[in-house]
Amino acid sequence: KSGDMTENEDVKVWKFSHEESVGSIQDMYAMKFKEQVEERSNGEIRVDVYPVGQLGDGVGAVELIRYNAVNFSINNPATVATIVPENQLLSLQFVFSDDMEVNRRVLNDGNAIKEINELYRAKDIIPLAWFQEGFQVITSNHPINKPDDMKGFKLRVMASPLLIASYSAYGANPTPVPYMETYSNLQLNMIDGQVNPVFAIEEMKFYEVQKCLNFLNQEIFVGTFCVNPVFWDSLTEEEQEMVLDITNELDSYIFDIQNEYADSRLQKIIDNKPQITLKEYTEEERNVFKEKAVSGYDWYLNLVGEKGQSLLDVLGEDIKTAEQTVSSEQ
Amino acid sequence: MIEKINKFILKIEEFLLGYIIIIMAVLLVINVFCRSVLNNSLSFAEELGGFLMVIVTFLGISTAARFYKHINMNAIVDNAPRAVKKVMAIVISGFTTVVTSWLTYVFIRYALDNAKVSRISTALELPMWILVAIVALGMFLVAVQYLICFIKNITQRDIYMGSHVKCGEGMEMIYEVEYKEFENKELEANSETENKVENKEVDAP
Amino acid sequence: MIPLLLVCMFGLLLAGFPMFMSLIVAAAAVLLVYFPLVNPIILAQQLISGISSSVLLAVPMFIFSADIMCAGQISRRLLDFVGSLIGHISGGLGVSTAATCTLFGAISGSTQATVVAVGKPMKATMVEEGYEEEDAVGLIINSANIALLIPPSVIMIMYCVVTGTSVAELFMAGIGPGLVLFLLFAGYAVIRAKIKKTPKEKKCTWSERGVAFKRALISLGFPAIILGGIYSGIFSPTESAAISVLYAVVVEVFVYRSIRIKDLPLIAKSTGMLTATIFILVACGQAFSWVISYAQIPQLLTSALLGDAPTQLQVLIWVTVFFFIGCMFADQLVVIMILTPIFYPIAMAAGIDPIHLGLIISVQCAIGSATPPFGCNIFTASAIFNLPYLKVVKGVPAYLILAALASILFILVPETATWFYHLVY
Ligand code: NA
Ligand code: NA
Repeated sequence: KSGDMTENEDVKVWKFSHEESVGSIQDMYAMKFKEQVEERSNGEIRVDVYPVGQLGDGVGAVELIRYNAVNFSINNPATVATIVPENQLLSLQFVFSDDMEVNRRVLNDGNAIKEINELYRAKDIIPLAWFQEGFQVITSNHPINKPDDMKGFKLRVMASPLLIASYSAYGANPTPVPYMETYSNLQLNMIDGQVNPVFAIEEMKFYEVQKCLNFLNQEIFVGTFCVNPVFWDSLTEEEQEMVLDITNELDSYIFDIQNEYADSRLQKIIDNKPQITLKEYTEEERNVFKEKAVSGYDWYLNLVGEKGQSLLDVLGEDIKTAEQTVSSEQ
Repeated sequence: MIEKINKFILKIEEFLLGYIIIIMAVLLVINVFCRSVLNNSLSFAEELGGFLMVIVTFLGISTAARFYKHINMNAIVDNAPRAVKKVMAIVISGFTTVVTSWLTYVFIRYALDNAKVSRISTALELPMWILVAIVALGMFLVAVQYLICFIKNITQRDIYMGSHVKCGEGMEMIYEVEYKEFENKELEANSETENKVENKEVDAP
Repeated sequence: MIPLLLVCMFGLLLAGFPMFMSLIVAAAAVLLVYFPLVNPIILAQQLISGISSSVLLAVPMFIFSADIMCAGQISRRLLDFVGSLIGHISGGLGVSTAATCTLFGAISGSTQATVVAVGKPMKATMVEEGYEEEDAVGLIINSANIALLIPPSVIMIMYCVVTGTSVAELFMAGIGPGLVLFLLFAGYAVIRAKIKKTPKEKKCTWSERGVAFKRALISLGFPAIILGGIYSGIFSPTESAAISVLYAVVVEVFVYRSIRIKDLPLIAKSTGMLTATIFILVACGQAFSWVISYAQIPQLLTSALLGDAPTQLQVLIWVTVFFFIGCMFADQLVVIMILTPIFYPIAMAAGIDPIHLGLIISVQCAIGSATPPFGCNIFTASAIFNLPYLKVVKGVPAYLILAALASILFILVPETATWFYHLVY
């Protein structure tokens, strides 16, 4: 019983929350899920989507799903890291491949993800799917060709010790600023740059107050589609099957959307600000950064110990396997 | 005995209230200095500030409950006859005790759950159950104050609006001003005595 | 669900319960009755998360610096300086009061502090000079509202926390409507003095003005540091609040020597308690607001009220009406916390500029602090002047009419509210 008075009592209501704006990648995922569930259940189930973290964002979003205030949600590893620190594996620098197709396989069938799923379950969250939302892009007012260009560079990152350690390693001065204050801080030169995927840079208009987008491909932004375990157990077997089925189909749907957004949002930025510099990197240039990135790994291993090392090894294997399959298919 | 313990707790509450506010200010000023002069901000300053704010709030509300400082709309009850006032004082203190006790219980469950999943804070990586436990303690102290107020209301003839405040004692001001006035008087008294001391020193030789 | 919510909220409020009770009981009742499967721990989580935002930290800091200044001499010296410039014109005392509130508002983020700091010395002078007590108090509690529009301002911080608008931008924008209100109130003081033939002050010589200016110089530098600091990006609004504490301490303790350093813990203690009484409301307001948004009550209400595609004008009128009525019954911070999430999405859908909306809301909240029955300035004034509630309220209606005029102006001609913002950005 949902307690909603506008519908008749027979309709089940599933609540779904995510933190991104309407029309964003997470929102497309949620809305497609809603459409599919409502269609396949012949209207017996209704899915209410709460976008923009309106019921809770950041760490609050994690508690929403844990306390069954929402039944489904899309979370980001950075926020869940407060209870599953091991998942920061996914936020390490240069841990993923340059090839989105490879990353997709690693997130779908990798053994590392399976182990992380177990860690989530132990903390009352069941991950149903992992998907990419694009590479994290560093924006700045001068091109960042080598780590030295980041010396004393005030870079806005999320308030995560791992990210602070990672970007300090390049010589930057990572500064946690609330997401909503980022634009004005850039405008006022309180910070020199920030890190976010292209869709966020376009949505929040960060490019208006920055001169360069640096496509270092150092990190990918990942979303986790989760369900509350108590709620999951209360579903019938058919319902569970339907959800898993839909989740499987959503994988390619959201992968295409993500690809499409990466291009179209970038195009929008270029249309609005043709003089913006887009910095791409050669393999040698990236290697200079990679060497510096080691201290972020040290920080991670220091935090989670042996489990971290084994996860890191497994993830490395996963990536190798995926790279082989992808290249053999081509 | 209970009165003594209660007064002792009040002293601690007041001490914490004042010094946490000062620590907040110092922390933020140091952060400005670090960021603008040393070009290196304290990544934990804002998180710590937020925690201090939570602590001030949940420890301060029991002090406020003692002195009937919580913001309310008492226009109707104030102009009611004494018997109605008495009944309302009992109902308000009683029901508020119940609700704040339930909230204490919810906060304890929250703290236990945080401990269970070993949730840590983002920047400082502090165990979050500690913060929630402090909040639970604050809520518990509020429940105790309303309980004392309730007991005084049913055992004594006077009407108690807070555990330290009787109705009509002129202490049922809705806002903080009169508390501040009291502080100002204390300040003035202090500075007067000091001036006298200084004058004597000048006169002495 | 809506009847349960309203009965709990207004029932407890009118029965004289602490306001935090009416909010949390209403929220808990709806959650427990209609959503039994949701773990009530979520309420505890909302209570804590509602006040652990770093932007909100600015609020206790601005209260602290205002408390220090109330105990010191900054406001007195500002008043003397303003008085020496314009005290001699017709209605000079009234204009001086409004002007000092505006100036002090550029230092202080809280209206109660302004009532205490400016009102205390000013009221005595005005009554001595033949003003009627109600007139003087009415002028003081309403002029103090200007301080909530001139940055820094705690209500603007709250609006920005709830909506994600930039605090720095809204702060700058607030100067516009603040000055408009000042001009209205000052004009009213002049006209009223002409009609009532209130005696004028003697005109100060330029050397007297020079002395008054020197005495106030350090206090006058304060707004420049705060606003300049925020605008140029040297510090964030939260940091500026801490800087304002530092400045108040330096000026009052080391320069004016009106407070001793060992008095600070005493002042901080009263700041701490005020912070607690305000922030428990913010916390419960957050829980309440979460529950109504969870139960999707805003959608039900607003679609019934506004239909599917309301015009900007319709939205702004309803925003004004709801915030005005809300502020009659509750603390402004709570009103913002509860009503803003309801109206913000509709206003955005109608294409209203978030800064303009923020100004409209701030103006209503500022007016609301002097509006009966629940107005914090009224309580403050009645306490510090030791006057009965009804006597304090008597001078309010004239200013309400002026404020209503200003509100209409700000809605119909957005430029009158946002002009300063466009000047700067
Ligand atoms: Na102000
Ligand atoms: Na009011």
